[in-house]
Amino acid sequence: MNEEEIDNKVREFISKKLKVEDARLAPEIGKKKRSWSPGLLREVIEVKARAADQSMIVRLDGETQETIGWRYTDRAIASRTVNLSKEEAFELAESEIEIPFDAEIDSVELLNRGTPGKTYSVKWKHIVDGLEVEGDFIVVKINPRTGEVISVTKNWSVVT
Amino acid sequence: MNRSEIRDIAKEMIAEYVTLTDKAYLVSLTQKHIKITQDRKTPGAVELQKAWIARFIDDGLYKDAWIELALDEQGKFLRITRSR
Repeated sequence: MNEEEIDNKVREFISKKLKVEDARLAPEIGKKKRSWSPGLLREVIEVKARAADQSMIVRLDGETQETIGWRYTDRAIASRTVNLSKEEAFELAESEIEIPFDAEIDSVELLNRGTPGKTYSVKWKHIVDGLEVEGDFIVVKINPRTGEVISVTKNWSVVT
Repeated sequence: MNRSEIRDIAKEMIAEYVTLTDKAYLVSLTQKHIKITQDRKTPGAVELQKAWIARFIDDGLYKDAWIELALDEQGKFLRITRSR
């Protein structure tokens, strides 16, 4: 996949995520950073992008170009208040990302840090033959007040 | 090798790689799969190896300083990592 294809993939992802329907508001692609992930043992690409007055960083697997994470860096705070329960946070997280067959839920926690305020952190670990794979996890973070997913991180290896 | 034997080996082996203070202790010993790759320039699908991870805390170095020793199933050294 060349640079332009990567940009288009990120544009498409962000348009869908932010529900940008007006073509004039097509996401702008910003800085692109490639780095080695010691947890994944491969290169990852982080792309900054902006659309509809909101900014995101999208993380791609450098080898497969699969989207392996995203987070808002500048997000308009939703006015609605839903006050999610732990169970609802878990269900929302599960619906946000396709959970691999060899994933096992690790924790659902309400953390006292994050932006803004408290954050639900729903975490899965990678289990192969009954043992955890070091460094592999999926974490979905949710704003408990608004019920919005604020980030997804997937560090997941394909095992031979 | 059983857990108890691995624990004894880890406690003995750690001193060969780092100098611990008298405030060091073994906090956990867990079996995990660790990832191995041959060359970072040719990343591919990951191979796994079963390992024992012995985690030591040494509050004498600084608060919550940790050192992790990874051993294979026969108790042989694989790697060492530390918090700083």
